[in-house]
Amino acid sequence: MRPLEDLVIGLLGELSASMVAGEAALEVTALDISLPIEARIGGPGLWVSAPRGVMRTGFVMPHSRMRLRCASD
Amino acid sequence: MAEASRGSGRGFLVEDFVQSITAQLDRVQDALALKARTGRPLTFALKDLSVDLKVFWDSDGSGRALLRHAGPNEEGASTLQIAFTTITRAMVEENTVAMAQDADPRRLEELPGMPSLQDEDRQRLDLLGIRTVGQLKQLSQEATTKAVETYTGIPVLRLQAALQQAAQPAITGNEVVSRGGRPYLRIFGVNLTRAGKPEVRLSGEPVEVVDSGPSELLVRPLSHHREGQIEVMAGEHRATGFYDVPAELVAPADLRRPTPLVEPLAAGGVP
Repeated sequence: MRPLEDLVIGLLGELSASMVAGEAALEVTALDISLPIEARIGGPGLWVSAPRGVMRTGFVMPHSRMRLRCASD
Repeated sequence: MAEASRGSGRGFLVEDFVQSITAQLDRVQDALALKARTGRPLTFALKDLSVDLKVFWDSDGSGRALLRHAGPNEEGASTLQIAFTTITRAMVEENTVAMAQDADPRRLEELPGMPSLQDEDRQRLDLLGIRTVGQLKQLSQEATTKAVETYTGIPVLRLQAALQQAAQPAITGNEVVSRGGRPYLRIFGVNLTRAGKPEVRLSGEPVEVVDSGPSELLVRPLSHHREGQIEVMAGEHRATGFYDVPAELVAPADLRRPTPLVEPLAAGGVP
């Protein structure tokens, strides 16, 4: 689990880097991302991670969902 | 974020939770603004963010709403949807704290003798976006201490003590600059001219203050000043720091006559 801001900044950083690497002729102007997450409310704020699925113990964490709308302007 | 030990075990106050997420998104804004300034060819601005959280609701003794995330295999959780409004790059730039313009960029925990503000106080101020001494001062100028107490929950006496400490002069750094072939010392700090033009001493000796401002002084070290203590006397208050003049910035004439540690032998040598 890591702070919400780390996930968002990391995600946007990775996407930005991957989109300019190939010098594609298409221009990306907007991104909509919707992904399932595991979320924990803790101090301070929201901690999130990718869903881990079913654990060995048989427990499964309920999945939350995060949606991001981004623009390149 | 204050865990509601004042309520059920792992529940968090809703207002604290929302403020915490807002502070987290502020940090996203700051990071994206920094990335945009580094000249990256493609940088996305975050427009909207929404989160659907599986939570359980509760309330504490005084009726305030608490929430906690659903644990493994817990059935019947509510879905809390929180949506944050559009944040464009222009707004990121506009809303980003202008770090260079902060009159006192010290972190709150850097204030000398800082037990006046406790960890919880600083955390509450952080949630309100008040992270530097300059921001705390600005808040106190725009609202009465009592109003700040009401809003933040920090007792007036602790706020007043913190503001009093924030008004003291302090040295935060220094650098040696060369002008006309001789070294000058630029001293950075806060409240350096709170009592008019200050007196500055290097290694205990008064030196000429060429230029002065609240956050910056320019002084002329004497030719033998290499390293030692800086003292800035601003009225009855004194701030201290340490300086070091690199040898390459010292005028060659000042290095020409090193003081011999041992007197040279007289002509003729030892009889």
